[in-house]
Amino acid sequence: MSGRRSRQSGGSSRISDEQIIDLVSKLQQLIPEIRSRRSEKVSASKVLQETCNYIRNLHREVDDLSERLSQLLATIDADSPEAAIIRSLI
Amino acid sequence: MNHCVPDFEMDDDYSIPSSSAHPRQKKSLLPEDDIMELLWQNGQVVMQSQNARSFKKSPHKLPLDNSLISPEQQLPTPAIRPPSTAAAGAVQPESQLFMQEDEMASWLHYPLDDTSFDRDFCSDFLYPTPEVAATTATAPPPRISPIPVPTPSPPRPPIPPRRSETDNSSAAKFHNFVHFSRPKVRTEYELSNSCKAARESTVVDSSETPAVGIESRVSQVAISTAQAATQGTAACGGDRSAAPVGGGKDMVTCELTVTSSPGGSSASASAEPATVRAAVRAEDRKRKGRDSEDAGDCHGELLVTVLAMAIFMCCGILYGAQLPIRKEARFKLNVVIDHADYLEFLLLKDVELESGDIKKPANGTSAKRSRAAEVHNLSERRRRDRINEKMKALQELIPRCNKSDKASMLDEAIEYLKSLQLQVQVPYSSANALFALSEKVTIPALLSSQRSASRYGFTKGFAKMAEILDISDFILSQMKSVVCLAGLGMMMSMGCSMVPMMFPGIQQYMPPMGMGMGIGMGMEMGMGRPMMPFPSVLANSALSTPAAAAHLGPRFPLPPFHMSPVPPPDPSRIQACNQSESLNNLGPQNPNQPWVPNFADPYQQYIGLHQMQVPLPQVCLVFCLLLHLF
Repeated sequence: MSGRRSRQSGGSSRISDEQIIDLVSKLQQLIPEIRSRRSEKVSASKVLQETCNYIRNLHREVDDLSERLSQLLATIDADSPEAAIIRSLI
Repeated sequence: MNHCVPDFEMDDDYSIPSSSAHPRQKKSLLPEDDIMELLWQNGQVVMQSQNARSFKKSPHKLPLDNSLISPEQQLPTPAIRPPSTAAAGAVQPESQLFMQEDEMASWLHYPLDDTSFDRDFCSDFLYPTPEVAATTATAPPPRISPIPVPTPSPPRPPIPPRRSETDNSSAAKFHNFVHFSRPKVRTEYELSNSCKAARESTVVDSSETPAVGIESRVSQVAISTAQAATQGTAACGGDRSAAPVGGGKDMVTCELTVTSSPGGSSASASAEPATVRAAVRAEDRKRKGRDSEDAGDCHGELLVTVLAMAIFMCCGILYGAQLPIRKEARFKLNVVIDHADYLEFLLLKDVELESGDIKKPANGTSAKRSRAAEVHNLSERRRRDRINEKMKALQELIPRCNKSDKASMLDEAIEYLKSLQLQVQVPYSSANALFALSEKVTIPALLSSQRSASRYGFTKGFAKMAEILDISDFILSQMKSVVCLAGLGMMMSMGCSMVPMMFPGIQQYMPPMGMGMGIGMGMEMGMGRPMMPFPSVLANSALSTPAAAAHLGPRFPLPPFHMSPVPPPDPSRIQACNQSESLNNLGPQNPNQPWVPNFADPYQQYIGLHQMQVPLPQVCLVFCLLLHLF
């Protein structure tokens, strides 16, 4: 697939349109928002936008969770296995 | 006509050098040449030899006092070089043509006393004339360049040479015509002016022929018409403002009117004012329309039409004037028509050349098409820009992304997103469990809460994990953020393996615990804790199991890195997945674990295995093996 149209898009970039479309569709499936809707009208721009938003959300979530875990860690004794677990998580 | 052409050329050559010196066709009456130029100067028709005619490229605002370039001279020029100076060329040959006839000579001596119209009608034409003259002066090769004569603008390479030829003559003609045409819009209709000039020269010529004084107006109209025609053809980049062309077109119409009206001298006289008025009106209208037209109106048919009109008008004028020039007029008409075609051809050629600078044609399908194409291009560009900026934003979000090309960047984004999802799921559930744990609830309570928490967390987590499982091996293979995935896989396998073991001995309570235990075990394993108790748990009754589960429950969080070695046991995992099948079967029996089926299903999808029968001992063995890994 990549070789099929690699020439077309300049010598430097061997990316073909199909590749990009593939990636975008993969991305689309990962994003719950778009995936749940499953509509046909998902443009690349929208997918990219949703991906950015989703990643930001995930980042926020991870940060939030980490914060909670650290809080938890503070509450329990450091020797407990839970603490170890928490520490591993963070 | 043939004779005209060569004559013209010769004359042009002659005139070029000499005329170049002239800033404007101001009036140098050099009657030595047989081809005299009728220069419109301040409304005065001044005869000027062709040689004397200088094509000065006057600036846009050419003073109205441009001498009226003898249409004769201009005519011959156009005849010879229609392409060069659009109008001028066309006109000049015409004039030449006419001049050839002795009868025409009489025209030259009729001063035109209509100044105002000169300004209006011929200004455009006249203005470009000087330019043309300048151009021609510079490059005298008598080549038939495209119409855009008037300006030496670089975008029209072919023009300059052409211009040189016709410059002298056409310049003068243009000059004259400029005055005729609307002086206001001059900027962009140079080309058209040139064309017009050619035409106008023709027209002027014709107009000259009839009673100069009276016909001046008519001729002006004709000229403007011619200008319009030429401009229309030369529209493309219109050296001159479209006004002249537009005006020319209107003029043409007016001319027609005029021609029709004049039935005789009186008629012509009346036609004249009518023409003048019409011309003026037409000019105004034209100007507006012309602008649009000029923008891109380079249709030859317009030119032809205008020319025809001009010719008709000239004929009419001639007729009205009752001058014995009718013959010439007719002749001129033919010539004009011929030249019109030529001009049209040139204009079109020129149009192509100037497509760059030419504004989109204002009318016609070509204009619409080009405009549509341009609009489409713009929108496409905008869309692409939007996508590119979003890609950049995405690239910034992804840590350690040093890829520059789109595909690899998207690849990394996908992987990162997956890992992020996994990362979120595990901590999420573990955090919940830990919170429950921190609450210091009793074991049963903890269990239930854990269950609920796990259910909550697991439901979401496992649901997501399940979804991600299909990509888990992808990530695993890449050894990227396998962490959670490995842990999850382990957990799930544990859970799966646990389930069957639990199942026999456990009622509905176990499966959930099995899951929890599995996960807990996974976590425990990650922690390196001895998993031995687990088998005992397995063997034990449900009571111990829940306890163990409770004990293990909290350990949801998988030490990401510890689990790395674990995931590889795919066979066990697969078997575990098989167990998930059984777990699935348990689904309906486990009201507490709505997620069990959920978990099982995705897992099944991922694994694709539908082996329902996994011997328990085998599972236990596998499980123990897994346990021993830590």
